[in-house]
Amino acid sequence: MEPLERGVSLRMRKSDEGFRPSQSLWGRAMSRLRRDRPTLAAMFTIALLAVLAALAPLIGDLFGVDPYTQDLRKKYLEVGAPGHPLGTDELGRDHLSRLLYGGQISLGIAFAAAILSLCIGVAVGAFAGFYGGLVDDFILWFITTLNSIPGLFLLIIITAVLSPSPPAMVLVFAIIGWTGTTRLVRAETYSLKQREYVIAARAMGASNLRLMFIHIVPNIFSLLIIGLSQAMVGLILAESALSFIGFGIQAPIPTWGNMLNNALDYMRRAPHLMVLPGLLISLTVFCIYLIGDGLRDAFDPKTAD
Amino acid sequence: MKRLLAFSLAVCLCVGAPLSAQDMEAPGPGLGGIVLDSSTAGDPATFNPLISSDRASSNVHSWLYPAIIGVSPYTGLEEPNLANAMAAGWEYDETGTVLTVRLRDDIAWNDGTPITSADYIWSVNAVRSGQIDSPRAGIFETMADGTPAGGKIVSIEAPDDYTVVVTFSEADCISFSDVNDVTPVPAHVFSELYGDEYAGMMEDPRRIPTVSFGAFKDVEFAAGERISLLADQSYPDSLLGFVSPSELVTLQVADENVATERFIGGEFSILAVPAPRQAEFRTDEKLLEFPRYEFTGNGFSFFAMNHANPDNPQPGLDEDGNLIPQEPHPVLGDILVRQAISHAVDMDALIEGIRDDNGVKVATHTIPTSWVYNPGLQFDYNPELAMEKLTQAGWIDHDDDPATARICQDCLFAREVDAEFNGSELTLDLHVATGSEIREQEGLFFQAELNKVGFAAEFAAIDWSSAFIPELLGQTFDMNILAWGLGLPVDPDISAFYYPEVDVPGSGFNFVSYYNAELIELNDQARVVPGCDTETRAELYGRVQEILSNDMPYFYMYVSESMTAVLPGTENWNPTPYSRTYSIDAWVSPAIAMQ
Amino acid sequence: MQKYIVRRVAQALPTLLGITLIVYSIMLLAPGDPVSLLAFDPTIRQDERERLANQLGVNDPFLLQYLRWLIGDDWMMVDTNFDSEVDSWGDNYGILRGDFGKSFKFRGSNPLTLIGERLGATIELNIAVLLVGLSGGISIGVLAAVYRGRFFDKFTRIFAVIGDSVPAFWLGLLAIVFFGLILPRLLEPYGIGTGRPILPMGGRCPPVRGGCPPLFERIHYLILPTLVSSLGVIAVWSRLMRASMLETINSDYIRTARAKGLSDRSVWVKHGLRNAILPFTVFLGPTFVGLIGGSVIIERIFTWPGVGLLLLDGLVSRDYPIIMASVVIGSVLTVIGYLISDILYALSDPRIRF
Repeated sequence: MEPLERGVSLRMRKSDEGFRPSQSLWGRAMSRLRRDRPTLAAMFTIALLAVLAALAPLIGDLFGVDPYTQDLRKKYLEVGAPGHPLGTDELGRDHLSRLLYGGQISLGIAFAAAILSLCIGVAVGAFAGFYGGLVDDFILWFITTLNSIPGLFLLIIITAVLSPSPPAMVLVFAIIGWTGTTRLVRAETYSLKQREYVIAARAMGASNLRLMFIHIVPNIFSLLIIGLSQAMVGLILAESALSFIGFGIQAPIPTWGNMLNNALDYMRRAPHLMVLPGLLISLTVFCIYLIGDGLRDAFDPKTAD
Repeated sequence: MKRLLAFSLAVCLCVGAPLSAQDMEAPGPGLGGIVLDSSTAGDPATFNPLISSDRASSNVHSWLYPAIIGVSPYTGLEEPNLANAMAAGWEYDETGTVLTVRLRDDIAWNDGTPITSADYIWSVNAVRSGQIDSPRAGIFETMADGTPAGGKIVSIEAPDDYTVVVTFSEADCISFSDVNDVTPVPAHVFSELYGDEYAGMMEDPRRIPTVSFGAFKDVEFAAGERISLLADQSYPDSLLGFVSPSELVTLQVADENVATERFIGGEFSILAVPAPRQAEFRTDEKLLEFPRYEFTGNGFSFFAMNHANPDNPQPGLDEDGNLIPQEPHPVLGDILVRQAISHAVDMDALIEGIRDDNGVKVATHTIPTSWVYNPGLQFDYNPELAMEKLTQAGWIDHDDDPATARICQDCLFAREVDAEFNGSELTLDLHVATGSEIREQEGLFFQAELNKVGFAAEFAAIDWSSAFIPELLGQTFDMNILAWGLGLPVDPDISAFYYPEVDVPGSGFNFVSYYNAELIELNDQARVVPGCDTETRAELYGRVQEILSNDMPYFYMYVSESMTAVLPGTENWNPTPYSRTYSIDAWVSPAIAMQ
Repeated sequence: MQKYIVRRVAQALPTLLGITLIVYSIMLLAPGDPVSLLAFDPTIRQDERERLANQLGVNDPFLLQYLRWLIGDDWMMVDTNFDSEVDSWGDNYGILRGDFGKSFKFRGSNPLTLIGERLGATIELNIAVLLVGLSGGISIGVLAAVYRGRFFDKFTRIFAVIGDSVPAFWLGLLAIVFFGLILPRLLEPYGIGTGRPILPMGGRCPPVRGGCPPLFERIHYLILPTLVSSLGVIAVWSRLMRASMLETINSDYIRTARAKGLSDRSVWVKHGLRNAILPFTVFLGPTFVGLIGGSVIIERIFTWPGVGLLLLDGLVSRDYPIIMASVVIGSVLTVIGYLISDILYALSDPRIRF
């Protein structure tokens, strides 16, 4: 992650950022990323997990298993048992298949919620930054208020009173999680809309909507990607925390979070039931962290090549 | 009136009969070490037994206040002259409506004031006043101001210090236990505190009791942490003539697995082993050193089936008390379908596989250790018979594939309500409440078993308070799994569950909308047996159970077994089926791993 | 400065109002009603339920309910016997005057009293976590910046990320089992310890009578929850600190200072560290918020008797006064946390003018 130590410092002034064509920023970032092995490895791991999760039905067919079929005579089988590569759980259900389907839900919820909250954040932020005035004041007040309620408290009471299904969970996460992006986008929009090229575009009759999404959003895209990775980390951990206190996604739908929580009951009898989902959660979060760090470094104009 | 604790299979903590104490030895008063217990029930709501309704509170009260009539820790039935109880004997008059209870004259509160009928009467007056928010007021026929309260006790009076006379509105064997719903409190203390202004009790629910009667006293309470009680050497009913442990501490633990690990680490003296962990204590070599006691729990799990149409819940009776004809449940309204379900589910496999053999299969609403249990009944696992009955009921396997849903062809609902129902699939919703891993597994197991014989059951775990109870009491469910914890004394009355009076959508407990005139007749007879003769009653209740297991308002599943474990080296631990802490006042507890 | 503080406090008021509005709205969204839970008992009759429902005021329009909750109803006539006619003065004072209603589960106890009993524990733990997390995070971050690219840097960066990647409840349980059961049994054959837990496996105080001893006598109860909870703080802060330090190191004035011949060490400490800490006062607020929320999990796994456990208890029994009071109090703490961090920021940054 640190191959750039002794090169010549190629520092830019902050005010230069906006003038640099984004193409070059992207180009530089990409070429940096290509050399950043840990980040590449992390990206590969996440992509692999995502593909495996997406292919869960196929893999299930391959081994002739599915995540719901029970066989009480074959419970707590260990890793490597014939027919069940990762063993079976307390109802004799195939653990591999459950982990993959659980990954679908856990990763899916985190990804969908992160994207959705990003969209809300960008829209509201650009809106606030662009229009300013009362609209901005109101949005800022709302964000401050929402941010002042401890996030997990808010999440817990909402999930406790609504007991959401996976799609509803995405909504809940998104509704709570958009404020960070909004702040970011709002501030950037504020400063960007003073720039000459934006003013010029406006003078040429570009609509506000066009300005927002053609000229402003692409400029802060890298920041958004980093925000997205941070949001996903928080969401995956929040999903498992909710399961632990009993307000997460409910059976029979497997998620890594509720599998880990259920496995605590059997941690002595079948440690693999606890270790595997725990490891998958940790590995995913770890990789997304690395990706976030790598992206930040890659897009940071202040780091040297 | 028995109090039902859904999902709690905890048995009442009652200190019981004076057992021969010859085999027990202890170093001396207060030299038996500190007993550390754990509880996941949260903070007690109140130390005042007259306004409490939660388990954490009643656990504490059982150490601090006597019962008017004791319940034996061995049989779960009322007996005279038990430890920690006031009654020395009782008899009914010839009408069966006047109960005279004679009280012991040898017990006193720990400030020396004798415990008399006045203490009980003070509690009775407080509960009946209507000024306090007491869940026990329902035992009386009327409140003090004359408003009806729904119970059968007309009056409770004390002709002298050691006699209490209870008058019932009619002869009723069940109402006997209502007498025990009111806990005697030290009247001299309470009347000084509150006078006749009983409402004052609501203002300070957390007042620490200063005067008590029991093996332990002097509550010290730390919110969210612990309740500590000190040995009360003035307790006259102790097994050894003194109280051996110096202190009883109940520590709160929020998570059951953490509680189990802490017990294994030596931080607690005693543990009610959570069901998923019981198998380890039976088989794990390291855990075998912990002495354990297993017994049949006082409660049963069941699979409830709604008999009435969930789209149109109706009360059982109209305003004039006449039966309202109910539209049957499209599927479960047919007794054949319910019986098919009983044949489709392999309960032995469930008990062995999911509960690690920790349960006893039942086919009635009573537990095997009960005096009324009818052992001749059982549900047979026989999927072929199940499919046969479904076909017979008009649910046919149209594609010769048992795994796909059967469809209605002249089934009950199509015959009696709506002919257009023909061709509908055999679909049902099966719900359990969230929060119990085992319950969820059972739900999944039922779903799998039912779908094997041609149901299309959808399973979901739903939130207890926002979804499960509204659906259950609102009578909009199809099937669900839950449990009744039975109170003490053990009694098999069914009037709170299968009478049309309690079929009230939104609040009644006949949520399955089941009634059977013969059953009600038998149950009513059993309540007025002259002298409440046990044999006659047992016979009647035996017949009641036959009807229930045939009609199947519930698919009675099993009675789970409870397990209690203590630290190796605990002496004089003598648990009984109805009290895991019986003999606690004689315990010698090993030193705890205290930091 | 005073002006700034006054203005900043004034800004917090609409936030607090917004919090109450949001919390109240969520509670009203809840399907089912507390009555059904309280009345899951055949002994409670239908008219009792209705009385209870009316008492809770669940039949009034939203704005009225909210206002009654906020400012009380002792200034207006209300209908107490539910004949649809107002007949007596209300007896709620509203949360603005400290009346959060009466707890359902705890037989009418004042929610504020119940929270008050537990607030100390939550604050105690969070301060310990802040202290450990910040000092650990800042020092690791600074050292990593100093030794940039060397083993320490790489090791701590990876370690910090791992520490923040593991679900806290899992880590907590593993820590409890490890220090309570596994480690003592491993050490016992070598004559170290007695096989008893090395650290307490939960709780805040020794289970002996006479209340909780002073903090320094029970500091070992604090170790495990603090460690588990502060890992995340260390992870975030070491990364922030490292980045900020590097930025400062590369700035012109540090180079000037070095060029002047100042020793490396004094440059680091005097200029680098001081300037790098500055922007972080901004992150103190969010860190505190995260901790208050996360304490629900930590308190549950370690049975730390704080507000988080009370909130969970309230949620399970649908004790709305308790839930709302816990969330409002938690939010007020958060707002205060933000206030303090803003004021610290203003104080420490000479560029901010008042």
